[in-house]
Amino acid sequence: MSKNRLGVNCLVLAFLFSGVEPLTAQGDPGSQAEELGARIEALRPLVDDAARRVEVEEQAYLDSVRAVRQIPQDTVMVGPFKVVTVAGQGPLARGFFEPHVAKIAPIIRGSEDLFQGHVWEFFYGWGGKPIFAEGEEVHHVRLSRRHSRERVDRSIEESLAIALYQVLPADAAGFRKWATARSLFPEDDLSRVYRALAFNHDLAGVRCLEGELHWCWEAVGLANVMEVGSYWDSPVQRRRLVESRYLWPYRAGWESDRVGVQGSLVRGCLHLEDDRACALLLSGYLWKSERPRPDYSAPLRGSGRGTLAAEAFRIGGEGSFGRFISRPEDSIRDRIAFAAGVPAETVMAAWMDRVHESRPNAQAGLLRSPPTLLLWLLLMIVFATRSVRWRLG
Amino acid sequence: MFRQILFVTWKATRFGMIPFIMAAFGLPLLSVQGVRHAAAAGVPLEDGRITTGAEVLEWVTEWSHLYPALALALGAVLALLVWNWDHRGTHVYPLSLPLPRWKYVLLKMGAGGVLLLIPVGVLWLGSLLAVSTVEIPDGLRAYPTAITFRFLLATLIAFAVFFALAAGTIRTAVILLIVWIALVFLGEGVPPILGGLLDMPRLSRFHFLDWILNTSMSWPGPFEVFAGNWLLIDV
Repeated sequence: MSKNRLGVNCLVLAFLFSGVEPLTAQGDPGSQAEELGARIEALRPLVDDAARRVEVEEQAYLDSVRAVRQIPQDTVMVGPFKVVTVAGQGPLARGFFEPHVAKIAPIIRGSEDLFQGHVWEFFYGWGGKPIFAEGEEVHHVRLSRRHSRERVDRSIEESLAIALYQVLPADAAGFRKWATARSLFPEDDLSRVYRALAFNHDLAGVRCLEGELHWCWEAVGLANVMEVGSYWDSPVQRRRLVESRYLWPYRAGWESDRVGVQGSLVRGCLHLEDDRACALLLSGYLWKSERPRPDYSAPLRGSGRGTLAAEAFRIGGEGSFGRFISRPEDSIRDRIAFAAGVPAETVMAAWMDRVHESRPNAQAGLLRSPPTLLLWLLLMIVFATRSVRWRLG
Repeated sequence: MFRQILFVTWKATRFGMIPFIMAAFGLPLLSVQGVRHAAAAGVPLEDGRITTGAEVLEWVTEWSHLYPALALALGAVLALLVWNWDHRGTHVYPLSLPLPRWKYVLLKMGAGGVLLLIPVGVLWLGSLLAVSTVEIPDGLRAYPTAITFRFLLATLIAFAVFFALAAGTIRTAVILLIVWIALVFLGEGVPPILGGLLDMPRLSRFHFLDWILNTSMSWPGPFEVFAGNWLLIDV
């Protein structure tokens, strides 16, 4: 496989560089750019042709392997994603993948190459038929027929989100520590974000829900000045939070390596009611002092924070994911703004609007249900009164 | 006439309803058993634990699944109890009444509906009592009336469905059961085969049970109310 791919890549390079000449226009950047653009456009047919040949070569290689191993299977390309499945399930796999790929295809436009090594192994049916799938990253969507369609859809969404997560470059801003994979997929459920902001007892979450956007940055751990200790607005609240976070594992003897420092802070916070000790614990003091990594002990967890990035992708549309990963040296906040193509505050405002729209409604459907329910009741009454029992005699 | 039917129905169902009445009263209290102190109070419990909004919601969510289950069981059992004496007495009593069949069925259904209000009312009282005994953390609210109304709707539809089933003969019930099983087998087995033969992926993906569940439990399906929000305390 690798020899084959190498050969084809050489072919592509040969095509690309054939006829390349030095730029003639010197000194004028504008005309140089125009000339370069024209050359790129001229090379496009060659690149497309080479890409087609690559695909044919790869397919031929896979077919040869399959022939040797005598495994009949289908390979389908759904957008930029390669899905390998058992023979006959190609159309089924395409049908399942297409709606989900349609959601992220615009976002990753321009970054499709990143997913070249990713292969999805798909099977949906009874029994477990072997599938030969080769790639740098193989994602498995194998489900028994007893699972519902929703379960298959969820599995596909998760695998696509993981693929997005995997292609993120290792960067200084620590995005992977900031967000979880699942939260990156568009149209994630934001009602749990609302709940997390509403009842976590932190000042940032509550103020954020009330519409104070600068507190929202605090809530997602992306404020310019991290004041983690101020998330909780009173010493009593801080004590209670320390109690919920630290007392139980401390008593259970967990994290024994840190029990000395942590234990004294816990005692200082809870027994001596020293607010400084509580603030130190809540500000992730121990993490910062022991490990040189960004601390994200913000009120909202990674699964909620990542939805902000997903919102930026949604707003940014075409190529937003590519823009996001193009600036690994920038802060997450700046990258979110760059991906969305609008100021960071606008992304935050849009995200908050969607969080508010997703507010769980305990009374949802209570007005809508009764009229239809009445119709169903009438239908049941008709069935009951039409019983034939008394006609038997 | 309705009073007499109501009285007879009450006599036929009262003992069977006792466990449900107790459950309806106890369930809201159990839902909030862990919510003993509100976060706003700022007083840690003796065992060192505190109550946060997250914990409250976790407890309430764990118990929330039992409300629709109770509603379904109550509706089904009451419907069967309502018809119990008629089946055991081989329908001699209703035949002796100067009533047409449809009117008798309507009176019986009405009586069952009235009796349903007892456990529903008890659930409302239990919910009010439960939420009054705990302090609810900031950001959360109690919904005793909403959950009671949802419970009423759920018990009514469950009662109506099982009442209609029980009104028929055993033969009808067996036929319906056989038809249902056949539909499940055919609905689950045939579409994948046909989809493969006709090269129709959409047909291959069809799941009969999924479809019937989604259709019946979403608007305007009859069991939509069962899929609603059953949290006694929520944001």
